Amino acid sequence: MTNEETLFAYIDGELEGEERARIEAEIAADPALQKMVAEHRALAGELQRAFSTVLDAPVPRALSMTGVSDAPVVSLAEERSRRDRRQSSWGMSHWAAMAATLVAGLIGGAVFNGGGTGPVKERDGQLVASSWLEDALDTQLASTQSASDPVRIGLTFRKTDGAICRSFAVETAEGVACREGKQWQLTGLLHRERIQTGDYRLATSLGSAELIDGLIAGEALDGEQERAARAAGWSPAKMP
Amino acid sequence: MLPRLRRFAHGLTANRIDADDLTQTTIERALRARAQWQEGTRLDAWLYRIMRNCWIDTARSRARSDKIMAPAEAYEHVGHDPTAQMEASLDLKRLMRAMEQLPPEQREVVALVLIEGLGYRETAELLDLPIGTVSSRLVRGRTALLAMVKEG
Repeated sequence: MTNEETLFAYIDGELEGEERARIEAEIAADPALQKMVAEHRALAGELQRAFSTVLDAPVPRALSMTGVSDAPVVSLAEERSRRDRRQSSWGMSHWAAMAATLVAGLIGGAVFNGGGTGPVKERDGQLVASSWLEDALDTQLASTQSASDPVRIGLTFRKTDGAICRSFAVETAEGVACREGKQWQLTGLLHRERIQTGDYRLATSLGSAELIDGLIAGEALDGEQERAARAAGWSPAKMP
Repeated sequence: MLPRLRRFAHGLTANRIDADDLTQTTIERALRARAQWQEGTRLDAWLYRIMRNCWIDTARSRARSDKIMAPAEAYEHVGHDPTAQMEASLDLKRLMRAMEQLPPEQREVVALVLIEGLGYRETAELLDLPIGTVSSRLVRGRTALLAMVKEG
């Protein structure tokens, strides 16, 4: 009989062409081999399924953002309706800080090594937008931006303390920045491999959606409100 | 990427508590080593590799201090189908217990190939092993697993 390693390589889809055909013929002629193949396929399937429940298990929200590269485009409303079913089991701020730093390091390259021109800077222990990212957050409106702008502004919204936050996407990253004083503090920054095309006003990738979901109070600003907020220098709303 | 990293941690450690600890350690180490990641190369393979190295270190220091591993605990799930969730949770518990019985070098190839879905070549590169070693460990690991699962 054929050796076990070859048989398993066949089961795992590692064989091609002639060798594959040879194994297939051998299996077809041998009921014992058929049983073995079936059992091992079932085992592999079971492992996949059982361990993949970890993927749906409550993941610290800020950390889940590192998974945006394969995240589907989902509607924000749909995401928010799932809010009740989620719970975060790990300390959020800790994870958020680590993940943001990791991504910032990967994107910026020189961000923390004294580079003065990167899009992200550390100021008083906080990550803040700088240079062209800061410019875009200051001036760009989602309603008038063009596809060629290096930064895409997504949603502009207020969080519970009244501060303005804006979600954004660039080629290699996306995130949420919130206005703190005169700067945009990065609340989350996510690595991404490819920008999803589509309307960022309505749909956003899962990573940002989760971030926004954790921050937003009420509804996102519409085009007119966004313009008014810019005119007001992105100042926080007076909360009752 | 993070959920996949956590899944790999579960496969590698076969223990829920260890898995979350390992995920955290891995992120921390990745942060410190972030300058070493080369843009354009696979981020997932890089992180898997860091995670595996972290786990080897943990296992080593445990062997030294002769610490006993905490028993695997029931996994908590959030979902809308309680029955399916419970079944999946029982399966995961049972499979993690079986995985725990495997020698670490078999467990890691089972986790990478059968759970994470990496190819033999990718796995061999990640582990710095000849491809033949990967496939022979895979044979032993999954054969032992199947025997355990059949016994119940």
